[in-house]
Amino acid sequence: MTPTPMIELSHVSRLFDNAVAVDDISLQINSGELCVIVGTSGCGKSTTLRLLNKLISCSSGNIRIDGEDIAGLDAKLLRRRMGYAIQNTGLFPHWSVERNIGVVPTLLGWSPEKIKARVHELLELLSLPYAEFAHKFPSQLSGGQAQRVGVARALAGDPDILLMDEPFGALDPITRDSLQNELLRIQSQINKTIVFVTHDIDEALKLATRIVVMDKGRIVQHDTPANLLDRPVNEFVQSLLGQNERGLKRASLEPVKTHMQALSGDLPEHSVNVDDTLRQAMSLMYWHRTDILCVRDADNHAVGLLPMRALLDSPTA
Amino acid sequence: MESPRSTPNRVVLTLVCIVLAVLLLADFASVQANRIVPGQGLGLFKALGSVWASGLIAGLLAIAALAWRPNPLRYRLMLALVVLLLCQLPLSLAWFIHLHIADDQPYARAGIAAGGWTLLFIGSLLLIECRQRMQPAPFWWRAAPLGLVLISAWLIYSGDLAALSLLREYSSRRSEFWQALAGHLSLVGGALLGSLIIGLLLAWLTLRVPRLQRPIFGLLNFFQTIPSLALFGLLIAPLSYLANKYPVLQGLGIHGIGWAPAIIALVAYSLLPVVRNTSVALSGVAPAVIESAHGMGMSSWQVLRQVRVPLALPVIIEGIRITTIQAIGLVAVAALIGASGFGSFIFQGLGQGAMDLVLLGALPTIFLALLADALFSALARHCQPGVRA
Ligand SMILES: Nc1ncnc2c1ncn2[C@@H]1O[C@H](COP(=O)(O)OP(=O)(O)O)[C@@H](O)[C@H]1O
Ligand SMILES: [Mg+2]
Repeated sequence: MTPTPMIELSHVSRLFDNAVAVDDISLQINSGELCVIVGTSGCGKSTTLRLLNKLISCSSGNIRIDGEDIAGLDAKLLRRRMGYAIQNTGLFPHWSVERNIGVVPTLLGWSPEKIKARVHELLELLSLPYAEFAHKFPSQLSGGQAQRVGVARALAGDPDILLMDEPFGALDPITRDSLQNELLRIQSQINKTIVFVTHDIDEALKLATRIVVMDKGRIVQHDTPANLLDRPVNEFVQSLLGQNERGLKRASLEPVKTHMQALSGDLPEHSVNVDDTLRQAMSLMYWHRTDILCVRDADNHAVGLLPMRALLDSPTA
Repeated sequence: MESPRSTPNRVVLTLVCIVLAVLLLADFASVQANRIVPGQGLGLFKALGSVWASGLIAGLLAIAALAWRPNPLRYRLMLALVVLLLCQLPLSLAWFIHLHIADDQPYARAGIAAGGWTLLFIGSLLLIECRQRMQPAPFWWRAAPLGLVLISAWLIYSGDLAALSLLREYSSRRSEFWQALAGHLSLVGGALLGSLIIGLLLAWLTLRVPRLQRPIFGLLNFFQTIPSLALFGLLIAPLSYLANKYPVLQGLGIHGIGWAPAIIALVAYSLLPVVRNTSVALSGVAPAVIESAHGMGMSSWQVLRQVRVPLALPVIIEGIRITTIQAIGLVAVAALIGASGFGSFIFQGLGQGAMDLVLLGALPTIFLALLADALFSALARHCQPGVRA
């Protein structure tokens, strides 16, 4: 028996004044997935996301969350079960960080002690020390800090589902990269069902367990990042992936671990970390003008060899 | 850092020159044997005696000297001198009365002349200028207005200023004065309450039904363009007609003249600032904030109460501040159609050519407006969202 998907859209459309924003979408997202919706601006990504928490209603079709048709659910109660984080954070400027994060727990009627404990836990989870940040106001935070608070706020009610609309879109590349890593780390701890919207294909490839490519309100392809790169269904997906960079993008999905060979003979001079990607290994080879790297684990013990030829082999499990 | 040769503060220098010229060339105060005979003006040295007068001139020259090459320390000294200058004003008047009016002259009265008024006015400007030059201004600049008010109050209470013409007018109209205050305040309060109730409702309507924005703002703008006197006048006829037709209204005290047309006109004038500020403030809240408020699962009512209103409050209060100050001024005009308030003194005084009576109405009106301004500004600052300085 296949498990019921956490989120299920069937034949969902949404019109705005007779213009189709979302066009007959059917989609299933399983529990624990990090599903990234990617596409060019105006293709209906945000609209799709807002349909899920009833900020917008469907023109036709229906949406099931955890098996229940949301048409029959109270919108406010539904939203309190789903975290929501958006691009410009939407933090309440007149409330402290602590109160911002406590919004949904307060709406859910938690006790003050429980809310405080939860805020404490979330701030630590997002590497914002409680003592330093809880009593600041949004205007006193940097862009990255504000966005962390936005994510903490979305997680506050301990929802099963997290909806994120270009949450890192307004950040500089370095901050964005560290927040992406943070999100992956948090997801490995909390294992929510996350629907993440972005127009940045690299962000999608980095974060997603599965990617939904949208174009003009329709789903063009729904696949894992590796399959998307290996078998793009049409030219639109190909152009989105970037023609010449595809090999490197694909290589950044493969860990060194799955291509390394057993140790033998002398150790090569230059090393790569076992958790790094093939893309990083190729970069190191090119940089050091070498065709073989030593693979080391987190404790800096040599655990294998990575000759250039091995990059071309299909991965071992 | 202090630059070795700072430039002169031209504002202070100019102000001091003006006040010195007026003090030396015009009368400082005047005495009148009674209300009817013309008063006799006295220059600074005659009025206060040479010691007090020279002290005053020396103080002003010292301020000018400090302003020539100002630095932070010199600004502190300047501010201290300005505070002294303002605080000695009521004392100098009491001294003037002591010198020129004997206790056995119950009808003799002292008036403030050009020099006295100029000193008060320019002293206030000097205070503002010094305060602005010092960031942050030392808290004790407040000693100037506070000292001015407290010392005046004390001298009035002790009787030392009793011969001041303003107070002579007051003492012959003691009960009328307090009635006027009560009347003025209740008209302003009534207009404020009325315009708040109607205004907030209209503002809510403009947000709910954007189509109504144009007609509502059109109408409110139209009210603002009618001169106040004309609006008061225009209301007399229909209200008298209604009052005559329906005796119930007369029973409620509604007539063509009096408080009823005054309140209606005041509310009409007050609506624009209230509605405009409220509507702009409520719709000006960032869309992302509203969207995430809904996205968190707040009800529309919660979004309004917890997010929109708190964020809009400072601007709404600003609208109420404008309305209040405007109403305080308009109530004075409403005296012409028989509404109670300080305006009745002003118009009586104008009719009799008695400037002191005009002042008895005008000064409290100005004082009320300043008080309302300070109160609402402080309230708006207090409600500023987020960080407080
Ligand atoms: N509230 C709305 N009213 C009218 N049109 C809208 C509204 N929201 C979105 N649209 C239109 O729907 C289309 C998809 O928008 P959106 O989902 O926001 O795109 P994106 O993929 O950039 O997030 C766009 O053409 C947009 O103009
Ligand atoms: Mg969007």
